[in-house]
Amino acid sequence: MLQYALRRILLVFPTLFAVAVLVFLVLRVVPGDIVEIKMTAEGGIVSQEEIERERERLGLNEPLYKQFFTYMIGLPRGDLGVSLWTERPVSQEIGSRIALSFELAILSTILAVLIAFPLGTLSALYRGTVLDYVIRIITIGGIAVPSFWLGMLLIMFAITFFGKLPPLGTVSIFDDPLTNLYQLIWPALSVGYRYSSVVARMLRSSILEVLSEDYIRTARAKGVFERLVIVKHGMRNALLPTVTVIGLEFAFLLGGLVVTESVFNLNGIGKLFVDSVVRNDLNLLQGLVLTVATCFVFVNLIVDLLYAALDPRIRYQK
Amino acid sequence: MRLFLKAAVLSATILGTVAATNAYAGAHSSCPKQGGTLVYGVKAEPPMFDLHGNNSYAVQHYVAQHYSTLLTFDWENFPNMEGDLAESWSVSDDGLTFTFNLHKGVKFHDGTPMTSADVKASYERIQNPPEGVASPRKALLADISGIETPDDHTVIFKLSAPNAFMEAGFASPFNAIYSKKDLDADPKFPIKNVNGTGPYKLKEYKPGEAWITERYEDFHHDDNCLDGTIGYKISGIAEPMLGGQIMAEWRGTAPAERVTIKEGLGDKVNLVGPHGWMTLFLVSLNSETEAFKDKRVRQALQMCLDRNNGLKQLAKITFTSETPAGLTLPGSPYAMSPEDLATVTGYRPDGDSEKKKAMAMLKEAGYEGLKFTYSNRAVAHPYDHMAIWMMSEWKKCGMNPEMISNPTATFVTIRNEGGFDATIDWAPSFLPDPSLMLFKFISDDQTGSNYSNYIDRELDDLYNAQKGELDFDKRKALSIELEKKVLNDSHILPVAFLGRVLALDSRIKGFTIAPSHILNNTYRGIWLDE
Repeated sequence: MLQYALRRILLVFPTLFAVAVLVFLVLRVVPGDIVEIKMTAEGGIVSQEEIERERERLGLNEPLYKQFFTYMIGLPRGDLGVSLWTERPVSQEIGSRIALSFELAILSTILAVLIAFPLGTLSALYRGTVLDYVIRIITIGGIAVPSFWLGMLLIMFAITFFGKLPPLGTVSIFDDPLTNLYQLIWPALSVGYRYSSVVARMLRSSILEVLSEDYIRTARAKGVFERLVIVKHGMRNALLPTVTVIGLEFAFLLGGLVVTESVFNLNGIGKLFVDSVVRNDLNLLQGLVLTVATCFVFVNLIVDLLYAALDPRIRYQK
Repeated sequence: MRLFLKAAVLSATILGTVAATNAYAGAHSSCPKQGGTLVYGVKAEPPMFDLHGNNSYAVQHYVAQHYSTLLTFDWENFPNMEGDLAESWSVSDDGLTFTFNLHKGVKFHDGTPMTSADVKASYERIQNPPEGVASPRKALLADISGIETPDDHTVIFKLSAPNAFMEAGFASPFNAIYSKKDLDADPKFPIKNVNGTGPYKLKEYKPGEAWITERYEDFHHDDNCLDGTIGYKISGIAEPMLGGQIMAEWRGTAPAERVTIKEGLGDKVNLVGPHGWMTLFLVSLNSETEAFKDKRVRQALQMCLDRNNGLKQLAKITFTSETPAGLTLPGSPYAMSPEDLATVTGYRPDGDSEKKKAMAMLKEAGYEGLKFTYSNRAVAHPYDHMAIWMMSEWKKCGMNPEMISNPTATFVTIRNEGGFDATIDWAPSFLPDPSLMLFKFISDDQTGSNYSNYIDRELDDLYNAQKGELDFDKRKALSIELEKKVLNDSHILPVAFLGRVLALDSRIKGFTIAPSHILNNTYRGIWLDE
């Protein structure tokens, strides 16, 4: 197990290095200039000389190899550079927002798991019944309805029935847990519904597949209690693909709530992504992509380790 | 000399000031009610806090409340001016010397006394920005040849040439007065820090989220009525207003938003406006495009836009004004009269007949069925709505425009690099003064923001002549001559000025809407009727 874990951990570093190089190069071919956006997008009288001066000041006139070298030298020290828009360190920009995105992702995951596990299991166990059809309609609906649209409906619902929305601005869970929950429950519901539908569908398929395996039939033939057959022999094996889906969805939520965060005016990294793209803030954008990639890589690592824990065959493989 | 003096006085009277004599200090009444927190939304994020160094309205909405300027505007009688830091001021007969007497006892938020040295240091920073400091409007102060500070409370600006715009320039919301002490320590200090003499002090800034302020007790006027303000970064206006998350947004609402907000909140919200908004949207035709080298083709594009009928419909769906306009804000002192404008190419009343003439001109020029690309900024209001209207108008004239929409970053690059045949463009101003409103339309090598990229020395001469002309009537005549020439040449096709309508919580009192979203953002005089 230790050898397996070490091998997986060592793979993380070349992956992240490749991502860093790729992101730097790809972003440099994207059209757009932050200085022009900063100084001329809202109009105003700005001479070319002023624009050049600003480019020089921000280091954008440096040769590409120098910019790349500076960027790569900074990475091991956690220095992601400075946002070209706010001129604050990228790590500070991301750091002040990632906690909120992380919290929202956790809350959405909890909601999704709480909804998906009973729905997925019941749907599989009562396959072909009315209950199964109802659950399938609910879950297909969850996959079909975009989260941000559901979010807009939830906002309209709150305005219509309560006459108000949660206060703007991030309230820390440690300072005021109730207000924090009041702020995040709506976006968590809008994201969690889709998330739970994906997980429930995956769990249903996995359980159905596992329940048709020979060893389940053998267990039943041996007279093992049905509940024990399902929980011990069925569910444990059905969890493997489900855990993968939960892990990938969780990692996706960390940087992927681009529209949902905008709809709910949440100051997370999804909204920061939008802002950095609109402004062509390359330093911030590459910092964000790298951060999200790191999250993906580590969540994948955790999923792999969980896999090994759930299925001994995996850890014994060379 | 008498004629010159008369001209100077008339010019200043038009601007609402009394030249060569003492003016008055801020004439706002004190607060009917004190207290409460004004919560507002801003749809953009400030790139920095330095008012000298950028054009962003977000900086104005968040930061302007922390600073003072030498002069400001009397918002109820705009564009009349009144003193802010200046208790009084005077202009010499030749228009070359401006003398300001500053309020005594004014202190920066950190307790440092404000003196004439701070004014000098601030204006010198704008004129000659040190390394690492941006100053996009320094050209507007190019005529200042020297700044003298005979004592702590007197500042004298010497000009190298008469400049009719200069007095209003001292009321520019961008020309904030910084502390010399801060600038001496670090010229870049205002980029990331705030220390002004304005009505509210910065309490906390949460990047991407909120800008929180508190009342400055030692403010040199008595109209900072609130306990503080909180500005939140928002994505849209309607939902935060309806959900009680914000009380105001200061840029402007689109018609659909207004309807939603009014229907949802009824008497709890006031729609303020429509008010002329000094941002002109226009189409720039690329002077390098072969077809557009022919004046008849450019004029045909101009004539096909039936502004008299089309703008009325456009104003119902986006925040454009329904009044046809040339290059200066309709109704402002230097604008052409509607009758005069109706004689200009593209503004004549019979739209159908103009279209027929335009088609004949295209045929004559050999460009029947003209194909060209139109570069659009992929933003719904007002860009998409205006584009759809113009596409339809040009198609009615048998042309084949192809609209290419891009997000801001790409759009700006295309516009700046000239990668278009026609592009949407805009000219925002903070004062209806020809030196500001017409600067964009002179030769490209003079302005830097003329995306048609033409060179026309006749326009440059007219511009410089109006700038140095202190007689109002003569200046207006020169300004109109320049405007008519630009419209007739038709490298520039004005579409519309904007119509500004704000949705404000009915508890907000004491606010007067200004003709630009970058004006009147210090929240002075605002009080809450709670």
